[in-house]
Amino acid sequence: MNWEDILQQFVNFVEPLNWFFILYFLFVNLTYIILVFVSLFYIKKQERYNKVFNLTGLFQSELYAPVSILAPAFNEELNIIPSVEALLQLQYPDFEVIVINDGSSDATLERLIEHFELYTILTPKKLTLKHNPIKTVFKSNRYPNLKVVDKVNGRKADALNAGINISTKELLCAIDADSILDPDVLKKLLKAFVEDENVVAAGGIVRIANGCKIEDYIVKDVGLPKTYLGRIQAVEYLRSYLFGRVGWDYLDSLLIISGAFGVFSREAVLKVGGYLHDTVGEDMELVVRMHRYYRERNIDYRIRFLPEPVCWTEVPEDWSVLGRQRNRWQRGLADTLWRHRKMLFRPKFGRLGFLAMPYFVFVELLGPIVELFGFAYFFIVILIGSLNATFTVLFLVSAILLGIILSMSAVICEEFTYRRYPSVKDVMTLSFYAFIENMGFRQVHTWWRFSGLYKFLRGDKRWGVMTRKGLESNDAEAIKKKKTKEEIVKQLVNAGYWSVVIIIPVLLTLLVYSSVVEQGWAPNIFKLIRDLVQNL
Amino acid sequence: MLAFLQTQHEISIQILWLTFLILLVFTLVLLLGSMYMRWRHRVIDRKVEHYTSYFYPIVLEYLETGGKEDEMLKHFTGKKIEYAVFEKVVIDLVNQLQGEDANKIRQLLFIDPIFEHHVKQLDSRSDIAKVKACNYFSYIRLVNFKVIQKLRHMVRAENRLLAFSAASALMGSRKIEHREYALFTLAKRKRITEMALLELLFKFQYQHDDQRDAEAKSLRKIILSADVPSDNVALLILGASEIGYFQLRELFYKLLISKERKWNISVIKVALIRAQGYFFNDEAAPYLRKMMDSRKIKVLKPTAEVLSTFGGEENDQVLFEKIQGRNEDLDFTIMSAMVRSGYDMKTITENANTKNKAYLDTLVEILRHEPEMNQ
Repeated sequence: MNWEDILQQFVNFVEPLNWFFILYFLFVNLTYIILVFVSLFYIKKQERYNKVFNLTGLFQSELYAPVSILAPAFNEELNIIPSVEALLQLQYPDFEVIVINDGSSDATLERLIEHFELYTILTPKKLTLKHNPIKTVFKSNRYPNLKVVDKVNGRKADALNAGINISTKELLCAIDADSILDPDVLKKLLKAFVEDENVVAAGGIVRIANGCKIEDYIVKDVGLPKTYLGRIQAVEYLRSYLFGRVGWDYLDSLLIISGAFGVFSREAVLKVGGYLHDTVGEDMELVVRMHRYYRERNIDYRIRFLPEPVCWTEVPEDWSVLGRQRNRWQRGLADTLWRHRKMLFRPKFGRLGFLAMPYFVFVELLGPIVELFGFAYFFIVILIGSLNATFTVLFLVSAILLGIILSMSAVICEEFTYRRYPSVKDVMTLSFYAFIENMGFRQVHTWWRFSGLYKFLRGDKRWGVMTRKGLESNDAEAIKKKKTKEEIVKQLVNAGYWSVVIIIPVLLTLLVYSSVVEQGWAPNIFKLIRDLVQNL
Repeated sequence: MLAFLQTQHEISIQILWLTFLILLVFTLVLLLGSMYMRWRHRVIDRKVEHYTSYFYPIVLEYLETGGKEDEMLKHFTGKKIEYAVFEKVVIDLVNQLQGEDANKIRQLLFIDPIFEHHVKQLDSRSDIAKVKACNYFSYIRLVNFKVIQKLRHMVRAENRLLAFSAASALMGSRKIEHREYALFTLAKRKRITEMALLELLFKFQYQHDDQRDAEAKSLRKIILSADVPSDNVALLILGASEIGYFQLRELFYKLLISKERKWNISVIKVALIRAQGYFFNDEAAPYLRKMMDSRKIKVLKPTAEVLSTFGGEENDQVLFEKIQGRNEDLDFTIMSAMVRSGYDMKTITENANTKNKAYLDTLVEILRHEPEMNQ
């Protein structure tokens, strides 16, 4: 039996599933389209409300909701000072910044002590949430609203729990230490809590800082990233926030508030027991647990997403790092959905149980399996030539066009509302990347998500390897060798990803061309060349 | 059979062609749409820029030369954007300036086309347009009866933001009855946030002191009303104390010692305790000292803080006994309050029992560093 027979047998085996693929394709895209429409109208309405919403009297009082900003830091010696200084300059009358040094092995703590003139204060004896031991709690002589917690290394969730224990304000704002917040971000997020007394958590939009002009840890000029991966992610983030989360917010079924930036009621977080240590998706898990807690007890609550308050974050522009990040996100998603599987299709959870959870399970979690299977099937069918070229091309191009439309909708959402990217050139670039994202990157991304799911099933709960320099060994020769080897592997992996990104559009072009030839709309150049060579 | 399959195949291809073409057109529409929108916004932005730089000097000249409001009308050609930009320029300046200058510029908001436009907006079907109009009316003195009636009606709206905006606009009125009505109506709502109510309370105070007594009377009425939920009552007590309505000091003390159930609900009790601190009402000290026997941390913490604010030997003694009694986080709050109040730190450590000595030493050492301690 040769390879062709094996592939044919595979195709014969899978053929009855054709309808499943088509129905799945329709289900997924229909969901997306509904979300797009909901978001387009809802975001515009929100933007109009934001424009007319103004608070003047509130900030004269000291009784409104003050905020504790929690910034976990691990080996951040390079950026920690400017980032904390920027946090301390936020426009909000009553807030404290709590930096949690999560057992850094570099000079993060020393820099903080020196720069902010820290002195030791008492560690509270009663700590509500569990976490690795706190070594010391400091306060700053320069800024009375700055505290630093030095603790034994845990993970981000562990550090956040320590921060929550030390915090004293009504609201908690969890961020990444390298996040850059717009100066008025807290005031804008406060809107959610002013509007509705039942709000227990609210998230803002996370935008990409790569390519922006940053001064004193404040984004001065917004620009697009310079690299392929950065720009693709710019489109992805727009899509994910401007119509994904806005749509779920409208449906009151928001399951994710980004770990890079979210504000929570301290009381609510304590009620549900804080962040979970034993997961890599602690941000999503906390939000889902909050939903579960309140719904199970029939307590009124709301979890909101506001598209206006902005947090800027640097995204990875390296294939391997991005791959690890996406792998981790998928494992976090799988872990959260598994832990809270009881919410699926349970009437008690309303739209969450019948809409949001099924969407996340069947589209976000299992999507990579179906997509990857579909891609493989398609590829094999083309390889053995058992499918009509016109049909294949039309189906493929339509699927890609749908993807482009979804991404373009996010771009148009941005144009409708906030227009953060200043030039027409940026809009053109975003549109172009919305187009090419679907050819190559999407397939690679599917692979990362698939492997994340596989790793989750194998019980992998690691955060992912962090790139750090010279901490493990003093043997210069060994380090050099290790580095060279790592560098070669990295280059090979990158080359692999690039080849997928290049080959897929080429294959697609060839397919379109062969379809055009089949229709008789263009001459077969390959045949012409072959004839020419033969004649010669 | 083969012919049937062939037909099926052709139909599916035709459907796909149709889908493909629809999607292609849709993609192009989105692409061109985003370009068009960007272009359109640029045009609007330029116009706004143009009219802003046109109106700023005119408004400033009006302020300097004392021109008449009606003369402004000659600068308009009738375009909507002109009025919108003009209004924005005026509101910007009202926010930047103070006193007579601000009032003089505020008069420009009364010019007919702008005023009439916003009156019409109050009847709009869109809540956002109504909120915009409310925001406008919050900048001008409310003298028009019809407008006031409409705003009073809107305070009862289902849409909370609209109700809040209408109430904010009514707070611009000189007449206390309108402001009282707005505050009372919203305070009665169960689902109003603490922050929104606080915002209104701060707007409730008129700029001039001549209405202070009337305002206090209104607040008294609202606070004593049985229709206002406990959380809102507590917030009003705290807000009124923070603002400094001394006329209510006596009332709050009476309510504090009252045995009536409503005034002993913990959220209200805490607010009443804090109010004594804001008013520095040491008449309440004996009662508060008794309250230090309470086992409720929620009540103990504010009581200790207020007693430490009062200071004095008797109060410090009660606090000190409390420190000696236990060694928990609760005591940290009490001790901090006590040490901050200026109680002799040396005495604290010298008198501390052996069990608490180390803890107290550390605490005093820490508090020594506190910037506010060094003052």
